[in-house]
Amino acid sequence: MPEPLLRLQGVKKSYPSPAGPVQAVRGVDLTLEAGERLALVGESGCGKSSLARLILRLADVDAGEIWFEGVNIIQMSDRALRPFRPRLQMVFQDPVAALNPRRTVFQAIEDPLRVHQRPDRAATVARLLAEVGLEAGLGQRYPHELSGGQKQRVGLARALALDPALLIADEPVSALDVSVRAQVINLLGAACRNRGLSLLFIGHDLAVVRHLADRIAVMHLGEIVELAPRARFWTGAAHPYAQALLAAVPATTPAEAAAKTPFVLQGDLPSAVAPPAGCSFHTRCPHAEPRCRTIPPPIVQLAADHWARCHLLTPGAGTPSLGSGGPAP
Amino acid sequence: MSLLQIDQLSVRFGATMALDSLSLAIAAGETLALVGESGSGKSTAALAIAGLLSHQATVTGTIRFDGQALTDWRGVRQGGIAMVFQDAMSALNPVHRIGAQVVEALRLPRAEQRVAAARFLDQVGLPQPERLVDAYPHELSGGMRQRVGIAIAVAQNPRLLIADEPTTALDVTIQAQILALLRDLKARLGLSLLLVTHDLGVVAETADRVAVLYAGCLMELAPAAALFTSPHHPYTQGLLEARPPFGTQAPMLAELVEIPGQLPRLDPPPAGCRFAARCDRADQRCRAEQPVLRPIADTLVACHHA
Repeated sequence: MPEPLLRLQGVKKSYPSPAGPVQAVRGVDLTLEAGERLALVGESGCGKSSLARLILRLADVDAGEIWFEGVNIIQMSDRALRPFRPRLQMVFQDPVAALNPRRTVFQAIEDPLRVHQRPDRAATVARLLAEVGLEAGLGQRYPHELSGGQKQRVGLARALALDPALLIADEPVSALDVSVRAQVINLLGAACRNRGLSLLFIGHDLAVVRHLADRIAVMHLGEIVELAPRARFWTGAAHPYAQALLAAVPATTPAEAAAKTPFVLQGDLPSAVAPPAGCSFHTRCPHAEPRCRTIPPPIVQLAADHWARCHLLTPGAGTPSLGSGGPAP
Repeated sequence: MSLLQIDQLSVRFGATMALDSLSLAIAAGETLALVGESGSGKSTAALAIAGLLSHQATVTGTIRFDGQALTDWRGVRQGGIAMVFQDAMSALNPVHRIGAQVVEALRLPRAEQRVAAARFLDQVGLPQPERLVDAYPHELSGGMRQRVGIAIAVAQNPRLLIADEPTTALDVTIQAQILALLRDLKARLGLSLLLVTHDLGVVAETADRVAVLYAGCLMELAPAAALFTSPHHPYTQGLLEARPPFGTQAPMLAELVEIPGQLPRLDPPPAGCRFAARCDRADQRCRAEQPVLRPIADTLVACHHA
């Protein structure tokens, strides 16, 4: 079997805090094929952004391996890593913070090209501006003269400048106004399609995730608790936490809101300093049994390409009968 | 009679026209959603009602609450109107205990403060309220802090609760909790709720009526069910269509429907209809003459072509 574009194996990371180490990522295994669009979803504090930082080597793992294009990038020196940097690029949530206020749009997009000594920079910048739907004249503007949507287009152009193989987008449309959100989502989708780009999309808006992602990984307290392809996830999410996330998405119309069974997950995400024993979700799970409080749940293979970490699931059984996301009677 | 009646309310900040001749009413026990994007004037309207506008604001028009005209745009509204803010962390004082902040505005004798604070914390569904009165804001999660923000508002025994993007900073799971709490409080205390939001999902879950603002102007005012099933204004239609579809039966689209262009500058605002530059139905008249609100069925719409 050919090596996937990105492969994570047993990745762990904790950060020091006054209360003790925060276990941000607690053993993640994940693969991403070339051209695939994978979404990482979960509440804030679940470790999804930490994982992105580890993949980009903006932070170093405590344990585990990260293979990118067939090479383990964990042990590499900064110098050895340099040829790989252009292949892995990121689009940030806050386009204001991501751009230097003293650099023009042209300079912002040219900077990565200059650092990596690419030829024909002016022509490349012009091509990138056109690709993200910005007029050439905007090149001379400064970030404060741009709207939020335009800034995010610049952020995308900059990320695409070095022709990456993998784009990591961390909540790229959350800070944008509703009327320009669709523009940027379409742009991101088109960039992936036209360039054969792989996308790791980090997002909390499940409607956007549903639109963009081929596969969905649900993260809870530093672990992936369910991984499913789009065709199975939206109709057959198996993990109670995944079901709770789906149930929490607001209705799209008042009629739908009136028809839906109200289900509200009680409590907050537990502390990552002292994650609950057994299943990390048991403190909030409406289906929790005694064994969930003590024994870590196994990975249950529900189909060839679909698994979840839960005691209550049966291998190969497909969508489980946990109810439609509501609490157990 | 309406609990709150706004007539021709305009707010300027220097050359910027933040809110242009807003007129609307909120009935007792009603939830009205004020929907818009950044610069739509929705927060400006909320701040004017709450008496929290800055000194730079120039205000014309009237707001009547319970028949009484509100004249001070920069004074705490005594009795009747309370507000919940988007960012509960910056709404709370980090160096004061939760309990003291909840009852601060009530001027209770010291001996009664703890019990009263615990009672309000209990009302908003916070666990172990007797212990929480001694906690500091940083010890609480985002969802709990927002509940404290709501407790502070409820402590003032309001008849109108203004909630400005109360769930925007929260995760969906916590958002669902806070929306359920607001619905519950409204029913239990008979409140009117003015919900300021950009999120049409939040509107669908909570609102009785919806006011859609764009670039300082009221574009459409409709019962929530009507707005979602038969929107009349091209901007409202665009907002609804631009949402990625969601639900097990929802279609998978190759591309989302876009609203082209971007929000206009408001210093000064464009002539004619504020939405004309982004509207595919716009003509000469739209660019010259600002449309006035007119009724279509039970909806008010400001569009020459609706």
